[in-house]
Amino acid sequence: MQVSIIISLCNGLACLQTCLKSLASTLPSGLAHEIILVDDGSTDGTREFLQGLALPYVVLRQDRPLGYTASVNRAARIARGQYLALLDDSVVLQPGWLEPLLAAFAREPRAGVVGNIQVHADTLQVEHAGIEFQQGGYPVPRRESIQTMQASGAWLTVPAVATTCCLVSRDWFVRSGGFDEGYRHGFAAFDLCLRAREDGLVNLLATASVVRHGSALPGHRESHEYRDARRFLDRWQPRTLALEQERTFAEARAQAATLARRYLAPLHRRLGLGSRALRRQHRAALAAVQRARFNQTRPIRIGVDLLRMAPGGANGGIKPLLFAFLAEMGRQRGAAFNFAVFAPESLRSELAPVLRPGDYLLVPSDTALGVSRRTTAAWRPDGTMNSDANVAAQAGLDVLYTPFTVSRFHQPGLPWVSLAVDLLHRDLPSALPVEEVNFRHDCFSRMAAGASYIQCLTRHGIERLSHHYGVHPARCFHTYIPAQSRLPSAAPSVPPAPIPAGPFFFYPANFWPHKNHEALLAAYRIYATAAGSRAWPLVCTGAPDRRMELIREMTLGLGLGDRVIFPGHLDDAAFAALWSQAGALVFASLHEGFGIPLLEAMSFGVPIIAGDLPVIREVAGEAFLPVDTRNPQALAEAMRRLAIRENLRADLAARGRARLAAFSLSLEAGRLAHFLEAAARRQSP
Amino acid sequence: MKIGLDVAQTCVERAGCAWHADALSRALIAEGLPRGHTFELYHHFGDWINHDPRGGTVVEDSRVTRPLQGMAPPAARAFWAGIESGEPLPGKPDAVISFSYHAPRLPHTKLVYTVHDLAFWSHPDFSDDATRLLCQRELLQATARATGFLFVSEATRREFGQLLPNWLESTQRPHALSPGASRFPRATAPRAWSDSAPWLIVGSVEPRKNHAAALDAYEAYLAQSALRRPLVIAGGHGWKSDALHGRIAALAGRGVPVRYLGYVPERELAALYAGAFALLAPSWHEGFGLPVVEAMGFGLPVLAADRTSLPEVGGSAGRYFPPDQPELLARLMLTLEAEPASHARLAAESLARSADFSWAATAKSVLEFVERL
Repeated sequence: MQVSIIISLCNGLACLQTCLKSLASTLPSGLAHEIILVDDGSTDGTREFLQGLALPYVVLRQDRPLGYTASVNRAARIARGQYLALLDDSVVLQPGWLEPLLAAFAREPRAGVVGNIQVHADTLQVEHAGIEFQQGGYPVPRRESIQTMQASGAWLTVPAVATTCCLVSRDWFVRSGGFDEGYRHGFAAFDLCLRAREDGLVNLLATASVVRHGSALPGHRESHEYRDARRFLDRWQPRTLALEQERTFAEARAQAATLARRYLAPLHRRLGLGSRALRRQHRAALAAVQRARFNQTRPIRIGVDLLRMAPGGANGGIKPLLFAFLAEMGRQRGAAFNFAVFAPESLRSELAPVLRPGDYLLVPSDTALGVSRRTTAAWRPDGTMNSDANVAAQAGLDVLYTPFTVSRFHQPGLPWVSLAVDLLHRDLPSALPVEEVNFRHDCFSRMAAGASYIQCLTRHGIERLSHHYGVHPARCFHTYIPAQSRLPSAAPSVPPAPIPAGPFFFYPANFWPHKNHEALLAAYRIYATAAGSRAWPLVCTGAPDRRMELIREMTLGLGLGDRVIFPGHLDDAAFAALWSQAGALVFASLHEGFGIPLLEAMSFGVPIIAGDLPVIREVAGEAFLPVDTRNPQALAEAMRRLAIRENLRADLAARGRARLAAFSLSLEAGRLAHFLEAAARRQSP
Repeated sequence: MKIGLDVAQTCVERAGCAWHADALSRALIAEGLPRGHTFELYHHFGDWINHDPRGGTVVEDSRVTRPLQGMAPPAARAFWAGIESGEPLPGKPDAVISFSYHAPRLPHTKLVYTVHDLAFWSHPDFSDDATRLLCQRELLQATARATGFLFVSEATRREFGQLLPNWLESTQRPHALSPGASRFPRATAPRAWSDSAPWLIVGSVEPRKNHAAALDAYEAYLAQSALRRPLVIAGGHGWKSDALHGRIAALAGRGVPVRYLGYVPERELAALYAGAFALLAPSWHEGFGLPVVEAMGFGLPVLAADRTSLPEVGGSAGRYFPPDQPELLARLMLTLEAEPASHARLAAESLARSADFSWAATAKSVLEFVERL
């Protein structure tokens, strides 16, 4: 099916009937479509009217009003069309409204939200021709005449459009979570458009598509207007302000260049007038335009500081994440991105498959940086670099990416994008030695002060970063960790010795205090004591260290030596083999930046027990059995239930598989690439 | 025997566990010296490194050494790192009793581990993360490292059995009770109570102690009482207590006779007990409940929650209520005030009951337990 048209409504039957009539008469013939009407609690006879509708109409009824955003999200989840056409019931469609919107997607593969021109139904004055940010980053509709707009082009790139009448890809809309339901109505559209930009999409205005717009029903949105505006500005204002300034500068530049080109230069030529200073000014105006255009397109070099990364599994989930993102960004951007990775010599072999021919590796020794460049086959030495001098300038970096918060290669004027994995040192400081808390706090403070943009791993992470360090959310973005694609799916059926065949409780986690192995051991002992010989074993993987030995000692003290197995850090194949045999993930952790094992469990169809934490809710949705992981008795009870109830396991596994659709490597890595590029080109993302 | 005693907690502002460590250490020394034992006091213990150990428990006797008391934190940290990696303790004690939840690796000596309570697991909302992460680690280390276990109450031993079911039995690990006792001399007879004698709550202000229920009950009591006795709250400023302190201040501002005294030193505490009308102990969870036994020693009636160790310690001398039903506490308060006879009876029972607890008796049984190991 090509298009699902979604209309959320509440009362106002006459208005709806006009809208539907105009819709029926203007849809292109032969268009495969459905019309989803969400009745958000109508009481005026609209419900009866809707009952009389048949296909292509699909009616969703909500007895309790959920509001516009939630209604549309609900409809989008069941929609079957490739595109969603979002319509307000106050719109009266005109012939030929849909074709330009569809054509936009055919012409521009990166099209995000595509809107059109809306005129007032009575006065025929233009009410909306795209949104721009004015007066301090506030979204305001453009109201230029139809002729002016159409003269500028058939599809114009705009920062945002209203969703009164628009077209968007269903796949992207659903995957990105749809409208933020924290909005009641109005500003959700602009929030959606700005999120589309974060995913590297462009919002377009199709100037050939014009619709009429009656006045909205009183009370429809006015009562939420202030709160919605507040929410929007709290989330986005510095960024919308930057967009506004960018537009102002671009307009000024263009105007100066136009003047120079069109009037003054020919005049001077012909009459031989004008001072040298004036001519210099004209040349400068033209050069500025050229520079801006060049800056938009030239390849950028991205320094990536991995000096604090260790070989093997000691860094936990951060390493597979970064490697996957680097490889995917390389694939997506091709020659437009060139990586210069700073890393210790011990990482060279691990980095080889991640970097592409042409990318650089910079390995520090005591006094210098050894530079080598990847060829198709191997690394070719490419000289050395004085590591004390301005490395960024020597290496020609456009932007520095610092996955370990800060880097020693910062230089004034070099933009940097930082990764904040978690706020463990502020949210659960007792899980870290005090020196580590202080060290991280220092790093985070410098990051908060200096980074152009900060990458978090969840929306919750952005919230915590704002809470603890006062970083405005508009300076942050989130990328989930689509870890499900990392492990080989065709795993050997027999896990490596000494892993038992058959179901076991699985906890892959390094032996860090916040991973809470102690409570898990106590819980497991309660469970195993009650279940006797039928008890599943417990397998705890993780990089061996002193604390693993300590946990193992506890296991012996508890008399669980033969039931709890510590295979250490495994390679991907062995790890996948374990997942394929695991009966359940028991995720005892007290704090997570993301929770990679959650996704791994989902992809292997392994049901999940996990703590009821906001971050786990965000990542796992409804696909886990929530439990207070601080309490061994509660944890033991969850283990007992899961081990004996096969239908519960099947239900959780099915929810997990469905949940996986929310995570896509290309989307998440694309977002990181978008911000790296924005920082490098000094554009607003 | 040479016995090492962990008095690390006594070097900082003392709460229940620290008083336990202090009083029991003194009693053990008093009981043990005549038996020919010698003692070593550790003012840093395992990961418990004190900034300034000078204020900790001291017993002046040539047979009691204090090898770590003069040690600054860095040196103490290095010292315990050495012990952890296999060095013997300097005086080569035969046994070491841990009071502070810490279970360092002591391969050359027998570790006896005191379990105060397991609220950090059974009621996670009542302990902070730092406490929970520390206690759960050290408790499980103790299962691998300790030769014997001491439980401060039968309730704590029962809770241990729920969280580590059948562990004591299957490992046949020796264990004994080491109940607390009053730090103060027992009153000889109940005294007369003035009409203005206050209700008393002793214990740091934190969610576990359930001061909120006591305030609810007290407000209900005030509404019906003719005497309107004041309420006095003694105890350190614990975690998650801001809301409660706000409430106390608001009540006091409305002229309600409630006073928060903060942390009260030992001597002043004795005066508080001596002048109070009755003790309120509304805790959700106690390992032992030192204030109950101390109040009984002063002949105070005790109105306590019917949870964990409180009924065990108070026995028939206490009156009990569910900690989630402050209205029942209010009724108990009104009854106690309205019936002088029942007050007198409870006071007498308290005094009698308090005779069952003495540090000397606990020290004696702990010494016998250690000697048998």
